Amino acid sequence: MSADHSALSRIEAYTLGTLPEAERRLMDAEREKDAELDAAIREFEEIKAGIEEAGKAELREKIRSWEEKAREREPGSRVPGIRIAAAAAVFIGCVAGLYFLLPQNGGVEETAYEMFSPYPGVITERSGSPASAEDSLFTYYAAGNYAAVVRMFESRQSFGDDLEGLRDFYLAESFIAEGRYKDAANLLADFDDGEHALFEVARFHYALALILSDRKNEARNTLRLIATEDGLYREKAEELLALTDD
Amino acid sequence: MDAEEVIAKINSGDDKFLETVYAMNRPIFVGWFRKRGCPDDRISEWYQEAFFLFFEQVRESKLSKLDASVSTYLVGIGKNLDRQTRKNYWEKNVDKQGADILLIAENSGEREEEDAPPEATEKVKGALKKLGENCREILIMFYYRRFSMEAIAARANLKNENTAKKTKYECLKKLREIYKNL
Repeated sequence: MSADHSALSRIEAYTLGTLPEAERRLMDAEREKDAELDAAIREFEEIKAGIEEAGKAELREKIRSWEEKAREREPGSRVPGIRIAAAAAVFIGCVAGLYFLLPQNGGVEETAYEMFSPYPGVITERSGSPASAEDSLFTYYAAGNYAAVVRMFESRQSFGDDLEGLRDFYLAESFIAEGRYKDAANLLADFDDGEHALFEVARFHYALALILSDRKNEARNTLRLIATEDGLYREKAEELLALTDD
Repeated sequence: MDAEEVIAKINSGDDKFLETVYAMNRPIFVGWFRKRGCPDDRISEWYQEAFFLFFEQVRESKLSKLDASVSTYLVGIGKNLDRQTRKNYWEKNVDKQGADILLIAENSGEREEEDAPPEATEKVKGALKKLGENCREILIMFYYRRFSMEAIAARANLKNENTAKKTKYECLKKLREIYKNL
């Protein structure tokens, strides 16, 4: 390996973060004293960033071409030849065992998605009035900014008053809206006060969060309970149960 | 095949497989947003963006496992893009007091423009265009896709890992020269 090659390899490892810690510290110190080395590292970083951008642009181009193909295959496309070829490809793919690529239980998950919408507005259990503006979690929630609610939780910011024990409910709703199903299910599992005004919706959303976090057996237990009662979500629970039977 | 296996296979660099994942999950994504009255052009744009972001998460090893299926994850990203679109429109065009965010969603379609890449990045992209196709592919495979030397050797029809290392070094040297002289 030439001296050039060796120097470049060292700069590469430094830039990629694969240099051992002691060597990295040494190089940090060298860099401060050696302007040439510092410039070489900066240049390498620019080159790496440029290659990454080129890679991203290439991938976007590929995705664009896949999208065009997919749109041509859709019903209503004016290219029947391509549709026939696509149908043949799907058939051959299935025969070859490609069917395993289909999303598992996509039906029940999709339906669970369909059925979820964050509980509208923020009310207190007792008064039925909107939450106060000081309760920032509730303010964000009411504005539909679920990401902000989750961020507050993650950065351990104060949520304001725990509005009659509903803070966790609205946080769980925000988790579902942000695709954090496991976290939502963990919170909603504790929402077991049958007398609470939001108990029914919390329990149903718990079942949805379980489905979406691939805990379908547990979801079935909750759905069976809902289906045996004459409540708001009975029909939906039955529908989901039928889908989890498939 | 569960989501973890899909991710592992994507990481192995099989682009044919990646295309299959794209095609297989698209109908669920499109169906979900069509049912909500989103126009096809926007759904198409969101799906491409969602898939790109999904791939980026996998590539950067930020996503080694999923809570749900790939289609569920993609729809989740799509929902966030939808929300972002509404939020941007809301902030740009509507007085926050008394605004009906759902009504706004019906009319929104704008996305924030991405920041322009730095000049140096554009210069490297120009240099890459002047580099031969093989070299360009090898560098992208290593620095962007993060393939192993073994995988690069296999995909670029090189004799072995050592040949791939040497070739990558020569390509990088060439690229630096072109870059300096641009």
